[in-house]
Amino acid sequence: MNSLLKVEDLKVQIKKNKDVTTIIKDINFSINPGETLGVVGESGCGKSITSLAIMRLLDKNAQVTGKIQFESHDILRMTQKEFRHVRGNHISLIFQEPMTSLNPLHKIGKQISEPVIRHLKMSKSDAKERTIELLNAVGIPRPNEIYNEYPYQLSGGMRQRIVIAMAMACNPRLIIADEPTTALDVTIQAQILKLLKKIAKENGTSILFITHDLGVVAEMCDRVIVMYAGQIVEEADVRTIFKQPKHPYTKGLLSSMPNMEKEYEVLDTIEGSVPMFNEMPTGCRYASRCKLAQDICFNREPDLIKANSDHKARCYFA
Amino acid sequence: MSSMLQNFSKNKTALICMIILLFIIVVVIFSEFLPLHSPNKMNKEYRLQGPSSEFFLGTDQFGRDLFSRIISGAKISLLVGISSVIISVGIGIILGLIAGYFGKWYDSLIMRTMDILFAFPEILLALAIVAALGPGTFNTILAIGIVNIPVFTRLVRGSVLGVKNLEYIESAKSLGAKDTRILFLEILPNITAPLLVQSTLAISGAILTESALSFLGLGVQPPNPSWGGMIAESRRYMELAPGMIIWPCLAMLITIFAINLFGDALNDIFNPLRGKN
Repeated sequence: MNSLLKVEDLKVQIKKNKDVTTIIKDINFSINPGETLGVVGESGCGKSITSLAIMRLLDKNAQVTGKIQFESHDILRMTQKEFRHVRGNHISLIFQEPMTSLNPLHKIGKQISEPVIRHLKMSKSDAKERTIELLNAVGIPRPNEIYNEYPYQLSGGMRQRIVIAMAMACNPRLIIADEPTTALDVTIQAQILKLLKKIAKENGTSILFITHDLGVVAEMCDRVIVMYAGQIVEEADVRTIFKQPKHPYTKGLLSSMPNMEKEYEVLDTIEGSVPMFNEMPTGCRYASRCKLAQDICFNREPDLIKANSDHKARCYFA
Repeated sequence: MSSMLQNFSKNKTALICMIILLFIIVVVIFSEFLPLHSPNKMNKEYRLQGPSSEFFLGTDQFGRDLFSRIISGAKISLLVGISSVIISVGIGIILGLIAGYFGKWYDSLIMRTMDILFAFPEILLALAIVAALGPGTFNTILAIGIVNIPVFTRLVRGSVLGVKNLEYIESAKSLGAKDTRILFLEILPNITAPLLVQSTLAISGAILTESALSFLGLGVQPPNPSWGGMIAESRRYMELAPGMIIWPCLAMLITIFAINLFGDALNDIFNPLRGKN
């Protein structure tokens, strides 16, 4: 099967004055049509940078190298104008913070119908019909009235539905969801996840799902990438990640999740902290926090090694 | 929007100022239909008179009706005030949007130029421009307009910097919007509040500058009446006809006062949280 999105050797460097800091490197993954790929990792590990790189939304001082193959085109080699046609049309983005990702001064209907008019060249009345349809699809009550309301009149969960409706407006083939439920409370989270899942299934949309919540990953994803300090450290399908994690970091993440059946004095944690981007060690980036670490780990960086056909880990002991 | 109007009607200062301003504007617009003397018509037999039934506020040294001259002056003042602010707001918005949104050398170039303009005292710069272009109403408007550009450029740039990294701007980009669209339809509407307040205050500043220029003889040229010019003329006749200096000053005072309080009230309405502690 041809993959929808294929990222090869993606590397992002931020230039500040004369210092160049590598934020992410050696990012290789692909997403098949209809598949949901989860990207997990703690704050600052490069999850969001990866998604922004795919959308080409990084600041101009960021240098992006490598290859991002979307269908038959390399996103990084498209002109601004060509890519503008892709953004919002074939790939769209759902943001983390529903309270600020809608413009407070435009009506809901206008915000959703705008990309429809722009990309699908619909007339205003057709676009309105489509918008109402979308509002219905994301489970907004009274769509005809909400169409003329402003964002401040809606709650967080409702706004996130609006944001999802905007992202879906042109039937994109890939939705990048950057922590779409982090800002919402748990019951609303469940509703939004269900909604995303339903939409993906009905339209055959692929989702790149970025989160730090392993519970959400188990719920949503087919395959998972675990990122640590700007690198992919493990990649496997969702069952394998939870049942047989190979990388010590993934194991650490999983064991620091509270379990209902165990009694705790203190929750398990991973000792130490993530190295700073400007002082990355020469060896394995996780070595200083790893219980298995040997001399080789501190001296030479491990590659992403295939453990078996679909399972890769960046560790000598995997 | 409706809640904003409600806020407005609750704010008594704003309401009173608005009524005064509306009254001035209406009088100015319909002055031609009012039974007034012509502002430039001289009546030699009625020179330097006090208020009478014939001349409501008295006459000046040429026997011209002070009341109709003050209304005529109001027309000029409002014209200069509003059109010069339109010039500065228009140019300020464009420069500020470019500087704030695109950053880099655009920002440096525009803002350093603005800093240079800012370095001159307002009245001095206006004087220099009028001296270069020659006196007259249109040149006065132009000069005051140019002088006020840096204020608006800075204001717009600052507001853009505050708004441009918000997620809904990024969201608009991720939906494929062009830069021009983002600038004018996403960012600009979100910074109108400070702009509106600043514009109101700038109008009163512009009226004062115009009066100062006319006082110095570089603004509106005689015989056309302007408040500054009237005050300048009246200096020699102050003891004989104090009305000549009192009435234009009072007209200016009321207008400026009303505009400033109105601007302050607008500020309170747009920033309801400000000053409540």
